[in-house]
Amino acid sequence: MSFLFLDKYAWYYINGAKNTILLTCIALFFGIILGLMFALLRLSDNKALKYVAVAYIEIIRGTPILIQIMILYFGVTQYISFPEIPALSKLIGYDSSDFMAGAAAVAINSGAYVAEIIRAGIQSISKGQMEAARSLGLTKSMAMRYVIVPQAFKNILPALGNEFVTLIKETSVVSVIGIMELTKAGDIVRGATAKGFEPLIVAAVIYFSITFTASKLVGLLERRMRVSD
Amino acid sequence: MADLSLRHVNKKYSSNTSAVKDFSIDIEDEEFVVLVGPSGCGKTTLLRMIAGLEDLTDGEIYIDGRRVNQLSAKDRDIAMVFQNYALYPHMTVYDNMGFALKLKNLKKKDINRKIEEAAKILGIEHLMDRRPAALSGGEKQRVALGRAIVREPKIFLMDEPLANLDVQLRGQMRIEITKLHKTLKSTMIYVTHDQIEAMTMGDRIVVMKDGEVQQIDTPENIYNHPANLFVAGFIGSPQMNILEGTVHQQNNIAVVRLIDGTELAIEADMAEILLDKGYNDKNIYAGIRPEHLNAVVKSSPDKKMTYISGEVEVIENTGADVYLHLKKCGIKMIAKISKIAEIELEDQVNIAVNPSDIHFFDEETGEAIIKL
Repeated sequence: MSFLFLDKYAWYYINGAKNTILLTCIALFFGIILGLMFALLRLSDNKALKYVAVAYIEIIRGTPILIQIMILYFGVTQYISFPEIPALSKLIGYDSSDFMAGAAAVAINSGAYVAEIIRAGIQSISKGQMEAARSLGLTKSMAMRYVIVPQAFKNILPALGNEFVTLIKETSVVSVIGIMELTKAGDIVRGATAKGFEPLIVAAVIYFSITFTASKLVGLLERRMRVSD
Repeated sequence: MADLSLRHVNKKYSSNTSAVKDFSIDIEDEEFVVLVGPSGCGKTTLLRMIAGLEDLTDGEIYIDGRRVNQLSAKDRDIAMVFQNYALYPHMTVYDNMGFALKLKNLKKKDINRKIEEAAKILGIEHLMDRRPAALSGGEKQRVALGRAIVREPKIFLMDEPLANLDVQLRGQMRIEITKLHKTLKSTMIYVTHDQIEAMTMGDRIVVMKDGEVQQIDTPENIYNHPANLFVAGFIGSPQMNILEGTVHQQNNIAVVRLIDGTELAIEADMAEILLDKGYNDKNIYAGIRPEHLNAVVKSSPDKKMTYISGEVEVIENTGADVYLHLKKCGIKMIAKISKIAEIELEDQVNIAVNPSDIHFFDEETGEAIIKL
């Protein structure tokens, strides 16, 4: 088993790892926004809004991410094209519109899971907190914004951390639409070196390094939050 | 501050169970009203309806003459203190108290002034930078009160605020809240199931059972003139002794003959009322408070008193008082006496009671038969 090919192809892995982290961060950022929005819709008193949220969450959670990516990339992008962002293209080293399509697909998928995490977090907060806020002069939305959601986020931080770690690994599926992330980098190196095994081992080790570090950072953040209590 | 009117307020749940039935009361400005009753009697539901946290099925609520049925909680200008305090755990004491004011866009110096004033009244100035997790039960309760005070609401609502505190602290906080009411000169509605709190704190007490008002009156009147058997048994500790008997007329005087044959003399004007109302030879309940039963061991009978004898089953010595648990032919009674004298277990003792201290209740309705 030889890893001498790394001298020549290390850059692919570095670029792939960078893009994986970037993709994860973008997807999680928009996933949290989508998740919060749909969690609040699902908890809404308005039945129509509630059904929209339930439909989104159940459909996304009930279908494979690979199919979602393909539908978005080969279907939706025929009608809606993602704009080219020059700064992002420069950062990732190729046309950013495909990258954005991949990020959107992962964000939409993550949003459904984050929505359920946030919903559970909000429902874990004692009903008395909302009532206390309302009886002290706050509107429902103010109470949600300033009292309930901040407490819920503290409670769901471990679950969001897990989602972040899971997402790092899930981004690998965007390689099927040709996005140059870590799995795709391993694939390219396999093709170029005609080695079937070692390039994937390198990719796996890098994935593990990223996820292990991310887990530790999440743990550190959790401890910090506990101390602040 | 404000006055409050509730008119024919009803609350029914979808299962058709009634939590509150036809509740009406007028509460004056600066009055301290206590809602008291056993668990599940509807007192908290009533408080939540006043707060706007629960919808009415029927009836009307007026604050300062303005109908507030359709107003949301935030627009009613009330402040509520909860049993579990409901402090915001992610905020300091200072932020907990000033939060609602900050959202009202008050000036920082006004917020500071209000918080400082409230903190001074409650003695919590030193806790401002702490989070709720670092506070004791009593401190949390003070912060919850402070959070309500700074808003200067028209009405304070308190839902069993002392229930989670230990006995000693509860006694202390009872005094604190009473003093607070005097200081703030505010309208307060206070829910409890503890009749000691009700008796010591309220200007008026509302006794509730199964969603219905049993009696609304001053603590003194509720204690001395209970409207029915439920109120008689609920207010007073230990509770009133209820004895079943039959009214009999004997040579121009009336007595109540208990099931064991003991005859209790009835005060002349009360006897007249009982006979006028047709209670002769009818069953009624006689109620006697434990403190109105005096244990007499070896003394000559007092003409003014009437007597019941019984065997001492249990002696409870609390230090200040002694409770004698007596039984006679299936009748159980408690007498509260100030010192133990020479009474021992299984002694037969004579219990003296002043006829004017006996309450009478209709057997069918449970309503008090009252002197006019």
